[in-house]
Amino acid sequence: MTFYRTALLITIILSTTSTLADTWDISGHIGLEARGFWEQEKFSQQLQDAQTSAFLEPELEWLSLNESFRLKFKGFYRHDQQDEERSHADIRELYWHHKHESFDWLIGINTVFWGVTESNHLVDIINQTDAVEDLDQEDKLGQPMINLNIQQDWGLLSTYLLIGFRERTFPGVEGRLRTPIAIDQNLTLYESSEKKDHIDIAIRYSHFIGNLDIGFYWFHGTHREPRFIPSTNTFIPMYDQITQIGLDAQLTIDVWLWKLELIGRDTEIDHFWASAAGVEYTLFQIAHTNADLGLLLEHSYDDRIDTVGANLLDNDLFLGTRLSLNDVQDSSLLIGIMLDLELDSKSITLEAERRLGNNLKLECSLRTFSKVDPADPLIIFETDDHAQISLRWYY
Amino acid sequence: MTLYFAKIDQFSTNLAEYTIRYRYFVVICTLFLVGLFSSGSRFLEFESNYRAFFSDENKELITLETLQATYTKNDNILFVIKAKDQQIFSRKVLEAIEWLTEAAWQIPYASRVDSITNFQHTYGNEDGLIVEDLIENAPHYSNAQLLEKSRTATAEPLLRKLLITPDTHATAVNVTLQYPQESIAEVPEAVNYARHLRQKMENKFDSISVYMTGISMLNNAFSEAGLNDTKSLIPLMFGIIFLLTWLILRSFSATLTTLLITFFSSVIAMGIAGFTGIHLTPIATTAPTIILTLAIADSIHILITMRMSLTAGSTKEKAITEAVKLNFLPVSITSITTMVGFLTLNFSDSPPFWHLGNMTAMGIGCAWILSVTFLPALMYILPFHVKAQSKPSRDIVLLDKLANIIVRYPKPILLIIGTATLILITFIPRIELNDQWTEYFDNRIEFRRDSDQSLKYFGMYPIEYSVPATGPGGVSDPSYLAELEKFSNFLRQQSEVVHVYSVTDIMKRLNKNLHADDPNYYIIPKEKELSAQYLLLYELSLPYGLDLNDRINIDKSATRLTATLTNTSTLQTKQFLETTQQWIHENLPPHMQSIQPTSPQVMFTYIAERNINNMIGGTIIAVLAISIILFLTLRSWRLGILSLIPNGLPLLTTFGSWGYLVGEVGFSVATVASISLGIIVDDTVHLLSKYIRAKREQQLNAADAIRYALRNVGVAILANTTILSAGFLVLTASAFKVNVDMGALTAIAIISALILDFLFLPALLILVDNIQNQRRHNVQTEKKSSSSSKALASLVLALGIMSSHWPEVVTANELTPIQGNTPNERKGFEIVAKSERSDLGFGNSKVNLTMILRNKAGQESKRNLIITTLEAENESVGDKSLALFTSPKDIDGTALLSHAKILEADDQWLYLPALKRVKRISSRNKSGPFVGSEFAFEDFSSQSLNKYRYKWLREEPCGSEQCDVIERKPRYKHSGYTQQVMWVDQTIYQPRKIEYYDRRNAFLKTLTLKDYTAYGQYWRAHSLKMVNHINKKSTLLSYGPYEFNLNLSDKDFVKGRLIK
Repeated sequence: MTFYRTALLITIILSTTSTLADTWDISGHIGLEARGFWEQEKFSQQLQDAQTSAFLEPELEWLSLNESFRLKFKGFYRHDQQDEERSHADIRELYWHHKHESFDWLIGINTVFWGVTESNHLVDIINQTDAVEDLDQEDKLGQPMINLNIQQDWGLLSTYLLIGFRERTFPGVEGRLRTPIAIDQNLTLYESSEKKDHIDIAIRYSHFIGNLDIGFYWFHGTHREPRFIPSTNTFIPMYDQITQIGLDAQLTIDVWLWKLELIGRDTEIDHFWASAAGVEYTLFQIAHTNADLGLLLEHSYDDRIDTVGANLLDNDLFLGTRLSLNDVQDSSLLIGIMLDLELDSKSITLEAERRLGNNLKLECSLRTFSKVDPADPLIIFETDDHAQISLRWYY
Repeated sequence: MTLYFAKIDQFSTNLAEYTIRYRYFVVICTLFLVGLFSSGSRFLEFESNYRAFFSDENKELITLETLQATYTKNDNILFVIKAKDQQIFSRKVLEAIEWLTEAAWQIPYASRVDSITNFQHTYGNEDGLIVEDLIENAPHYSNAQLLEKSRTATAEPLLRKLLITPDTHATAVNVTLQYPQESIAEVPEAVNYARHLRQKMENKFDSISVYMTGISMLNNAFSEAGLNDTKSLIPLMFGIIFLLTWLILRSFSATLTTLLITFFSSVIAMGIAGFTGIHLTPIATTAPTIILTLAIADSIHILITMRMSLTAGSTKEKAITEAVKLNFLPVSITSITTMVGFLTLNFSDSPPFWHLGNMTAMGIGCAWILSVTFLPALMYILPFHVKAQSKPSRDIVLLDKLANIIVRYPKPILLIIGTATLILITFIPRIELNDQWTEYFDNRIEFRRDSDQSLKYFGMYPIEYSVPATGPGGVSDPSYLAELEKFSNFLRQQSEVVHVYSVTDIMKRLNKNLHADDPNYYIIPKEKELSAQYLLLYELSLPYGLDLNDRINIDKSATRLTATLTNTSTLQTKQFLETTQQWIHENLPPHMQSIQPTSPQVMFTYIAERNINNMIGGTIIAVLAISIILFLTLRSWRLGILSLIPNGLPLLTTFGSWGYLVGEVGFSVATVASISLGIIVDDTVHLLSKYIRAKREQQLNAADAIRYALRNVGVAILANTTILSAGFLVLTASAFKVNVDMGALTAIAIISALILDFLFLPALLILVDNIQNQRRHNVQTEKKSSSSSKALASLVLALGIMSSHWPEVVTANELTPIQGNTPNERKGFEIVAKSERSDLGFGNSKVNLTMILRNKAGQESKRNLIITTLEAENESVGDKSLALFTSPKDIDGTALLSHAKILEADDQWLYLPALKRVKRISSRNKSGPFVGSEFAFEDFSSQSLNKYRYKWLREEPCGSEQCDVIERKPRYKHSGYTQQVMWVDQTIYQPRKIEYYDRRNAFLKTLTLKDYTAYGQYWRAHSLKMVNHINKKSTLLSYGPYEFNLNLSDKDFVKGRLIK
């Protein structure tokens, strides 16, 4: 790990000494967030009704003259007033990138997203989820890596050497949306004897032919999602070694987007497959206005459906609609409902956002867990229905 | 999971029992269905046109058809006449040529005959210009006259090396044909008449030999080759297969059943093809061959298992049931995967390959069904005698020995075979794509023999260029003729070029003639009026059928230049074309930059590359799809992944061996992957399914499971490999090179598959099993996993860098512009075309753009973007563009990538920086607002010529300029406008104002373009203001300075490059 840090440092120093007509760019945002919970907390020591926090995400970028060299830094810090564990800092990105005509490579910390579906990001695997941020698994921790991409006419071949592992973040005792007993991260276990130093590999091929965009990957290394081993008064996270293959495909025909994500995973104790498939239909300029209305339908399935306590999305249906007003302030609204077809549970999400003025962005969201079946692992969030509002200032 | 296999076994056992019980019903039903479907084969016809090889959207085909629409079709028959005494200019020989020239007009569909005798020779005297046949009434010529004619003919640039060799040993008569293209009997009709003429000529004049070549002869050769193969190859194949099957099965009934199944499958597939109107090309006629060989594989697997059961002492009924049960799953998997493999041929650019793929897929489906229904039924009815033996047969003993070797030495086997494979793979880059289309046929075909003879004297492959002038009548312009002369001279200097036909030679000659044949005047006329007059005079004197319409277009704004090449390969032709395009780019004026070469030679040059690149993508997807099918049906995704190796490697080793041995491959290679993949997968599937059955049902360990698998399936795999490779080697006897290459390559692929499946796959299974066992016993993983990760990583990196030298591909979609019928429509089109063409060749550009949106109340908001554009290679294909948003800050980094199409929806991807996610979006929404502004997507995208229909309305002043007002209507679907009106100025031909009318034809908005600046010859407006009259909002686009000549290529406009 130190070798890579040094290499990075040297490259940073070298780059600062060669300021030809290149460009430096400083940007980022600072924000405030407030969450309100209207139901009584379920577990002791959880916060009562309001959770407030402030966060900042600075960004620094250096581009060489012809844009073939790039150095980027993106940091993140949140201070949460109620939950200690939710106050955390992270380097989301810190990398050196070199671009050639038919290949490019990157060394450093970066975030990589794979996937086509909206409700279940099944194939996305490179980065660890910053789970303490939000439930939708869209916030990620930076991942150190060496990445080589080869772009040819027959497609894009990407190879990743993932050096070092990031542990998942969890809410602390004061936090809502947590497990009944707080997770003790000091006792974290790893299947591999190298623990966090295990080097993981991923190789991905992606291409598009006409209307079909397709991607296929093979991953071998530490599973980003921990298992929990119950122990006296706590849960211990356990990170297994896995080999996983994934496929993502999207067929874009006129106003229909047909999406599919498939994974197959092999671990020490079992092997299984899971899928997420869906369709998005967009009505452009409805009722002769500028607004677009998108309708989403997605189904998630997990082959471990018969085993106990396995997965949240083992046979679930997502119905959603997205309204984009296409106005100057980029206002949009997303409403979705996730139905568990096995257990008859429902979860409703509502997200709205809009720009205020030139530099401010307002986001509101609402999440409810209604009618949760006692057998459903989601039962731990039963009383955690909440509304959230955040304001970001971009500079 | 065992439940799943049990269910399948239950189903197949029931199936076998039913077919045995109702065996007579099954047999009769089958015969009835076969009769029904096969009646469709009476509709089958052979395709006799090389155009069949190109899909309607093929770029080169469209260029060719545009040229032919402008000038003339260049289908031809070329008679090459050799004088036995090597002197064309003798009375007898000239008489023969005159006779042929006269008689050739009677060839059906002939529109023009050119020879040295009817060449319109011109000379000048005191009366002016004389235009007459060069040679008339030859038997009456004196020797002096013959000598003079000889000198004139060989000195005339339009004859020398085109219709007469410089040494006067051979001459040619060229018959141009115009087929109405209503029936496919047209070409054979013309060719037969021409052959009849040749026969007559050779009988009448014994001092000559006549060879026939040309495009029509080529077309005809395609169908003749197809017929030959069907008549001779198929019976031969049947014979070989019958013999081999009987030798292996040692039972007449089993052989008969196998043969019936294969015959029925082919016949049904051909029948369905007939019903769906497929025309057979020599490529599609290989479908029966492929169906045949695969149907046999299925039958042999079942029959051999049946024989093994009988040998062990089972009753016939039990043996059949057991055979069906054990083989149902693998036979089904094989059939499905092979069908998938063939259906990927639909990714090819060439229709005959679609037909091959679909016909073969149908035939394989039939074979599958027949082998699990008809075969058991018939085998129960017919006698099948087998000696019961107590000790295992010799084959089994050998297979056991093999299994033992593999179990004991898995690592060395993997190492040796793995290394050999890797070495072979390194030879793949040596393969060169090269086709010589006359060499598609071998010497058994008359066309090949005649063409070989013709090539000794004359060039063979014309490359046509339509060279535009600056406007109607512009061909008489001395500067135009000078450029044309420059171009002709350049072409003449190229080593591949034998002859150049350019109108400058006519003009120079006319100039000389009209100055009393003074050789000093053999130059381009200095004044435009003179050239125009000479041309008119000449044309008025030309007899019917020999006019200049095939050289100059109707409004005299372009001429056709033909360069005839010697015997070149597609590789050499490509180099020639590239050198020429480079020269054109550097030396000819802007309005000539749109010149594109065309001809059948050009088409075949690019089709190989196009096909290969399509097929590589298609094959990779097929291999992935097959792995998924395997994982789903075998219920083990690990085996699904493992199967990629014995499935993918044989193809790589085949091409590697070919690269080492031959090094050159034609466009038939594109199909080898699809064809052999199915067959390769068959071996893997049968072995893996037996392996799984052994492990799951019988709880055997890996080593014993391998033994079980090899014992049960080894003989069948060997049998199949022998029969299949023999079958494909039959194809190497074809007269059609495409089929020969395909047969050889496929045979090599099948044999490689055998080696990999017998040695590599079992060794791999043993090793994987060992690793798994070790993991189960140790909780701690060893250090070796990380070092193996590192090794793997470096291997991947090495492979990656090695692979970064694949050939480039260009796939484009071109549609012809609509020039209009009425004068106003044409005028409108020409003005806009001029405007468009002034922008041709800018290559690429980048500009910063500020967008100011203003609402009704006057409030403003700003957006900043950077737009990078890559120009498409020609004006009928859309540009690629990347719009990167930099402000407002919350959308900084959002990017929209578009691959524009002209009339279809664009391909678009959106990059969302917050998630680092690239999303492909629907681009049907051309009429929607671009980021909330008053510009719609269709206003913002490239305004290509072919997107609209035009009509000139009037002329009027616009600001300080004078403008042409032109109406334009969108041709593409889902536009938000019924029409637009544009003002184009008459000085720099740029649009100044555009008015937009919405779907109800109400006046919606106005765009004003200002601040035009020239960057070299390219004009760009820097201020665009769109005012919406209905909602009173407006958007102003302010452009910064444009940058051109950036280092950009197609690879910068892919979704991988959006992520930052």
